[in-house]
Amino acid sequence: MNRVPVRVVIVDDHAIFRTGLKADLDPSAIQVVGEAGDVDSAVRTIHEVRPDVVLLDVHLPGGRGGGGAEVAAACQELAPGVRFLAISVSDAAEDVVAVIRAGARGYVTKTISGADVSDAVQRVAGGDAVFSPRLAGFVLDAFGTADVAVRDEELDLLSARELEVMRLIARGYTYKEAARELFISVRTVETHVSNVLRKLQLSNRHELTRWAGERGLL
Amino acid sequence: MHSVLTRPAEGRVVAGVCAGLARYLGLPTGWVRAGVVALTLLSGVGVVFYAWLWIFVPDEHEAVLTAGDPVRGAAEQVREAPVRLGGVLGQGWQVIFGVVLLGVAAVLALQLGAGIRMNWGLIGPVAVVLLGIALAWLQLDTLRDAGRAARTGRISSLALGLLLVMAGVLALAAGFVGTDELWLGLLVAGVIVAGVVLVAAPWVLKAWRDATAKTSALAVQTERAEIAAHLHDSVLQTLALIQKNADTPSTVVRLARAQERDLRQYLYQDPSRPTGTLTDRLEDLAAAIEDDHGQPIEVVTVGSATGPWLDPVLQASREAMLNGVRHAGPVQVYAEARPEAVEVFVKDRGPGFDLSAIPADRLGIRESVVGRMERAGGTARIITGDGGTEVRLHLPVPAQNGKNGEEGRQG
Repeated sequence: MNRVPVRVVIVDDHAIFRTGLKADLDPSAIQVVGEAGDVDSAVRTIHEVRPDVVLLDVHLPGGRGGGGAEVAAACQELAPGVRFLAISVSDAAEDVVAVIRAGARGYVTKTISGADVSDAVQRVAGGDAVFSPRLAGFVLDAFGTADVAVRDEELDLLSARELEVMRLIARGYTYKEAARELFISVRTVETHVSNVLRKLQLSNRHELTRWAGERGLL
Repeated sequence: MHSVLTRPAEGRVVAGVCAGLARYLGLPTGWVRAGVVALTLLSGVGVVFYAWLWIFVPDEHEAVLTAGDPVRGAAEQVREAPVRLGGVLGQGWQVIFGVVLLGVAAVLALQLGAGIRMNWGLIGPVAVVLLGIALAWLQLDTLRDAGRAARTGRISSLALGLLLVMAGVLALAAGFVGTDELWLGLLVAGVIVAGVVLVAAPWVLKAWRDATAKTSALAVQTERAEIAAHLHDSVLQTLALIQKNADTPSTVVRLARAQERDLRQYLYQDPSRPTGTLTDRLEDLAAAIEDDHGQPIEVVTVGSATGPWLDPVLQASREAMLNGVRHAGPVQVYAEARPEAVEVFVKDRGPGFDLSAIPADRLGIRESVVGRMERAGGTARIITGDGGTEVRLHLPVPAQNGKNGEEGRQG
């Protein structure tokens, strides 16, 4: 495949991690065009270089203390040209969901392999959403796995198909494997995942608050 | 023998004076107590002696706080306070009551038996003053580290003691001066007190604020010390181990993974959450297997369930995880607790295996996964191929547990 490499900015407050990640990324497909270590310099760098994808740590110093979510929110006018992929060590649902709601197109953990993160970056650059098993688990917990009838009708619920896709991703299936399992095309799986992401970003605050309360997150 | 004379927190009857003195002198506490009581009965000197020591000998915790190592002291203080306060307070009241009764009895005995005429106008007020002082002092030690509710109770006892003292003093004064002069004197005293309060209030307020600031600084310090202790015990030890084992990558990975898990639990675990849920137990199992085999196992759970009926599915999951890390490498576990059933999926990306080729005498999969699930009324399916192996476990919530399962489950 001889495509133009994806231009990437890495935002993380640990220089060691940035260096390691840069070395891990596939150089034929990804070109790192900028780095930043805190909220303010990240917003500045992203506005300057206009990358295709920003690899964004959830926890960042600076700004108003909002971390990665604040960066994504401050760069909203650059969408859809600039897309965000959250990368975090945090297991806390509220961190992950905050950065997704601020506009990130996906979430991966920092223990992810170089090949996987390169793949995720290209996927995000192509307009798809990237869900790790854990994020899929969060989503299933947030929207509930129960039948639609018992839930509030005003809430934007996941369709049965979207639930199935989320479950398979939580089980560790790739998009391709999920497509084979459900007898649908990979493209359809990608559409489902993108729809789930949109619902997660648009779902009203009340619902997420209640969910967080039930899980003892607040 | 104790190096400093302090009043211990435990083993007190009134204020810990005798216990502290006994500890300091290396004598049995009983002897010291008997000595003080004897001195009291002989001439009343014992009471004065006791009161004097009560004022000037510091509480054990005060001593700890001033003598350095403030952090430890504060932490212990907080922990012990609730246990000790109730007991001390109860005993103190009993003792005061007993002393009052003894005093009344002694006075009556003197009057009736020895025929000495008592000046009740003098003895009554003095007794009331003494009672008030005892009441107020008794609160002094316990006021500091009490909770809000207990503190209100103490402050009202303090006020009661103060009122008793004032009433006693007034009654005494009424014996010497006339009523009119007394009222005038009271008025003057009131005005003077008001003036003094006006002048002193800012100073007292400032001292109070300083003390509060110091207390909260101490709390912060305590918390930081606790975090530092945790990091020292866990992270630094692990880092040292990692440096020692730098040549063996598998050990390094295992150590780092175990430490990561530990730290995550420390940082993100909500202590108010109920334990023993499906999530907890699965994560514990996965952690143990990770430690033994050095392969990462990621556990994702949705919903929540508790109860011994989960045992078979957990044991089968454990067997499946073991198989995964032994033959394939990293393992992904997904568990979902629904109102009607619990499902667990254990997936790896190994080369897969031929299910029918497993010899009949190999009990691993057949017995401990499939057999176990079927005996428990559930099902186990094993899907294996080039893309890896997935073990799918399904266990319905037992009928009598149906309600519990539903309650236990949280969306």
